[in-house]
Amino acid sequence: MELIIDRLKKQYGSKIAVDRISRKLTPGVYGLLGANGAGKTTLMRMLCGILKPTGGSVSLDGFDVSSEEYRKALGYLPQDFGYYPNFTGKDFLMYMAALKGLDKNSAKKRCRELLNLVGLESVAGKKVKTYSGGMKQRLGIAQALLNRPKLLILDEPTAGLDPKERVRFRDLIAELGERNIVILSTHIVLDIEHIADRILMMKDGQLIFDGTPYEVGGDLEHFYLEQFGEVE
Amino acid sequence: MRNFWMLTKYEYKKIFQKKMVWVMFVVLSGICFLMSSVTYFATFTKEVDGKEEKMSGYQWMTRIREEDKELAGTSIDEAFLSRLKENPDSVGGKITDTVGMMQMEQYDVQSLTEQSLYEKRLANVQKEWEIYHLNKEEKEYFQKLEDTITKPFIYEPTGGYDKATRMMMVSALLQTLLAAVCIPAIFGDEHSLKTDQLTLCTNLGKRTLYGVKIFTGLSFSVITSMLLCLVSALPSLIVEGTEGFGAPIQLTQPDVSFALTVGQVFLMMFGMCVLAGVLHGAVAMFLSEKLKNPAAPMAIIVGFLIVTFFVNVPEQYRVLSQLWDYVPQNVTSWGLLNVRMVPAFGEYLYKWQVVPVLWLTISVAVTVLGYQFYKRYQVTGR
Repeated sequence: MELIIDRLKKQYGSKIAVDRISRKLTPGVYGLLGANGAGKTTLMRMLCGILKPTGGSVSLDGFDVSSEEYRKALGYLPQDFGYYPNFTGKDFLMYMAALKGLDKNSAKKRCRELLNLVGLESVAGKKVKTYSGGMKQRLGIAQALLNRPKLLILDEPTAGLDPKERVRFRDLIAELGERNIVILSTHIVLDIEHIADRILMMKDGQLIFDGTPYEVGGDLEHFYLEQFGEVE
Repeated sequence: MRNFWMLTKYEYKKIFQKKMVWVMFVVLSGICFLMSSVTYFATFTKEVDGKEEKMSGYQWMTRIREEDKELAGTSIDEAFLSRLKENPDSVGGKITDTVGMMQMEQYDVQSLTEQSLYEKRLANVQKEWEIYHLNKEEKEYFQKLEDTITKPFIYEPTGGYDKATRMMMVSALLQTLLAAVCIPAIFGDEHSLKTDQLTLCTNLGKRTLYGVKIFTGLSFSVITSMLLCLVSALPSLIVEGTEGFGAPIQLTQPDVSFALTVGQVFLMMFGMCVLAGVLHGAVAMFLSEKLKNPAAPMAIIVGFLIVTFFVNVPEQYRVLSQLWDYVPQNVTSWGLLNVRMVPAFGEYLYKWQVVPVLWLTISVAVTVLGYQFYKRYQVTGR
């Protein structure tokens, strides 16, 4: 399984948000770090097919990002996760499951599994608007996993999660990364320090570092601050 | 399309989970029902056999209905007019309404003869030809239609169809409001709630989901149109009766030259109301996807509706005024049977033949165009 990003570019007028990034990603966890405005979310949106690149292409196992086959293998959790306030948690997951092509029985079974996995089984029948921030985030993670995605893109997935939930989440991601491609962007260095197979750092639309945690050589946070000129 | 009905169920759930939808529907249904039936509950004082009698509107209409049945088969001719002149109170039912409408001016029976009555009617018909600036061929066409109408008119009870048809005009107006409030959210909410990021990157989130949303919006529009029409029409049909389906339309609209029955016009109006619902639904969904907002289409549709109340294109601008005539509000009001025609393939097409094709074509066009906007949408600026 291979995600090929080929000279991917996004330009808004004179501003280049993503500057000709090329990479071949194989199964594993990729931690995407960068300051606000570095281009992480723009890159992720292009990888999800909801933002058209100015140049370049993205394909997964030969399927272009615009194809239905690509979207079948994709799971996405956006940074500002939207929901239907009057849907219950179960309604929301069932609706997303239907959109991801699961039939009714498979959808019911999968929703039950995921609600248990993210610890929302007791509030599945309650409206999403009554959920706390952390519960909504867990629901978002659950919907991203509905179709057992081969490519999982998570934008700030641990925002709003308490420490215990973050640990559970990290374990889940580490397990998923064994067989699938997981791209995870975050400001919380600790979230990826122990689970990422590769660290990708973005600055001003460019990848300024692509390496293993071993190549970082110890303290990822310190290394990150060094790359961004915060530490001499 | 895979999971079509499952997705439709959730799209409908999104609509019906909004209190505003229920409130609007109940209020508008209430208005339709009240407008069509309030007179039946009111109390009137009527002169019956020289005595004043208090009765409810329902009782009065029931009496009128009986009188109409007795008058079935009465020829509106010299003998009838003599009887009317001699003792106006001896004639009940709605037949005197028909005579009054044929005159179209101050009701004056004493000077009427059979010849003058039908001449006045024809003069009113021809006046309409002048108002609409018909050309020579069109006038000859209508004259031929006039020649096929049997005169003198033979009166038949027309039941509640006339009132039911008029009441459906109100329901058509109210359905426009309902569509404006409820339908734009089908597409607009995905953008305002930011769920578009999730739906558009699923494998059924483009073509299938678009089809589901269009089906949901159009079916909602059609069903609510039909329900509002039924709520408007049923009280009249129940109280004033369903006899007279085959009565000539000239008995309720004397200045019409078409060979139509009261029942056919009733069904045509019902069909037009439903088709107007389809058009409004399609346009509301197109606008909400184009503008990425559920509120702006509401304002546009309601604003346009208000404009149709106040703006009229003078008839001398034939093409413009004819196009303006095809606007839903102008069709579902009394404009359905006016003399405007469209020449086509050596024949003339009437308004009720042109409008369905026009509205359905526009509905399909905006639906297809809307899909182009939908599938190319990019999530930016967040």
